[in-house]
Amino acid sequence: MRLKTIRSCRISNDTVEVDGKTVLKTTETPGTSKQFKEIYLSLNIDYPKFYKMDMLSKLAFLAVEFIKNEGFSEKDTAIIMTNANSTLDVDLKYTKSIDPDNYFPNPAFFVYTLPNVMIGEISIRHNLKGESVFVSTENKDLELLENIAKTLEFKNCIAGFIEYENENNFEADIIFFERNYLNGGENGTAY
Amino acid sequence: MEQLIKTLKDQIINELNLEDMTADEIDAQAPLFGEGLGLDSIDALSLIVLLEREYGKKINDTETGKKVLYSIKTMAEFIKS
Amino acid sequence: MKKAFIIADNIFSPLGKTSCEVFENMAHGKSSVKLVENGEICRVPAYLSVFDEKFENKFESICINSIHGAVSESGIDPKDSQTLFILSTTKGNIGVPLNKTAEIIAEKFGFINNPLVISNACISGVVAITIAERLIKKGGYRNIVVTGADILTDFIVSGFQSLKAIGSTVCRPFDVARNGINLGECAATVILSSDAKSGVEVTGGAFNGDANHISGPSRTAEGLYLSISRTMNGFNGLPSFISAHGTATSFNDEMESIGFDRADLNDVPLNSLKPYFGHTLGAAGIAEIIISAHSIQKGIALKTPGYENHGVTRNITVLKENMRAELTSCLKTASGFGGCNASVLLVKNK
Repeated sequence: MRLKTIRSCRISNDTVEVDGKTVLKTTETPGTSKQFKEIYLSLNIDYPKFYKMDMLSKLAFLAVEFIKNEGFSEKDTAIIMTNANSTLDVDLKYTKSIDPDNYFPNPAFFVYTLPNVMIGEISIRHNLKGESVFVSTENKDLELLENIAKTLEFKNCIAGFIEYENENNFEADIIFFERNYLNGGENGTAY
Repeated sequence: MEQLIKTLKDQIINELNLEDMTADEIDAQAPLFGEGLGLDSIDALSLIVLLEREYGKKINDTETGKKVLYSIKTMAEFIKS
Repeated sequence: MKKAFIIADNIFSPLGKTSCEVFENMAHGKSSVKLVENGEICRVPAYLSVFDEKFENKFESICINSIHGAVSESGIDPKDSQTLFILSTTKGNIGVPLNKTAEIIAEKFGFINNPLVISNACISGVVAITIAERLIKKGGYRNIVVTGADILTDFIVSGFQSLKAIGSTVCRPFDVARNGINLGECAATVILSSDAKSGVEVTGGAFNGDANHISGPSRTAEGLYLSISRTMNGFNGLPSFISAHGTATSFNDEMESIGFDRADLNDVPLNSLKPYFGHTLGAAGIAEIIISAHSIQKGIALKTPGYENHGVTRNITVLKENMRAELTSCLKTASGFGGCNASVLLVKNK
């Protein structure tokens, strides 16, 4: 194993798992604003900007909040996020705002129509200025994360799969890891 | 005017996702930007869209925008003008 | 240690269908930016650079055209197992998963390895090239085909209009009268190879975040300064010129001037290519790196059209005229939504 995983978080359906253990079972309908608010409130943090985010950024924000730790470094923590559908949910919401018969382009939606913006929200929250990249992938792919990680410069890294297509297809699955030099993290076939 | 301000407050809370805020908590005369609600540049643009979409009032330049969006009261006055 | 040289390139854009054609047009001060009012691309007229011709499956078509242009020039075999295809795009074909679109394109050339698809706002292209260089350096691939592309639709144009980011003329980077961007369609391809021994080398790059705001740049150019510092680390002296991001928004250009000032690059001649063919989003980094590489080879750094009166607070040297000189290196920078920043160094090596 080339990565030394320190923390992990998975949010799927009505369950939040941290480091492999269930820490929360929600009661609101999965994948809705109400459910994400329920998860947010369970964290006992004060971050009103959360409510302005689109669903994808909210999901990413929540997952990272569960694994935040003293290892987060302003310059040396990298972030790699992936998903299959980019920002499809907010793309559709934005598209409604440019309906020819009701044309009022909504800037608050538009700014979220780039998949790396969820990384931006995480960076702002945790003051992370290290290397980061969003990569489009058909499925969750740990090998892809490892391969991308090999090309980035960092001491530790937040990486994973954050998908929000709609209420019925959403998932956050992220890890926080360091390079494991003992297993030859620097060498071997890149990507 | 009172009714318009009340409606505006609700619309702003909704448009800007000011969760858990009620109309009563917002002072119609207080500056929207700077202190208080902590609104940013995207919020300003959203309010411009709100004025056009709900009230048919267009803001075409930054100067006008700054004056109109000073407070909810100035927004209401702009709508009535 | 392996080195990444540019062995071939193509720009497929309204300003020309080959890199040379685009460069020649730029060197003669031509621009493909104009007021587009046809309603097909945007509901509210805007200053854009768009293709006149119609394409079937536009996004894939322009990518395929560009890749074909570069691959045929390069002589590489796309089907080789040590060849990788990287796609850089912000929106691709909206509504279609980006990885699917990349696969459709990859299939046309027989690329064996899964395409790597980077979607990181306007810095996608510079990030893609930087990652490609690092992959070649580590010995994983011999040849990497890096393509950046975006097409314009009302989705994108109206979005920037809603942010009041589009200028009311052909854009004027760093000028006091600047008031916004032009958008442009483009597909651009660069082929990096570890087989070459001379030419323009991509020697390294770096990318960093501002951690400040998702659509407004840092007032202190935090991320850009970090990126430039890391890219320039170990480089002796100053680059011959800088190809800046220079989108001509009030905030971006000011932020960039602060970044260059903090990095002591005040006297390095710089340009923005955006007035020639617009801000080409996912293609921007790639297309502008190509033009910069051609500048190095030809000894001509291009001027920044529209720049007449200095309009940023820091003293930086914005080119008003084409500059003929021996150019041996170029620093390319880019910034984007999400507060991301990237830079990469091109060096002429014999």
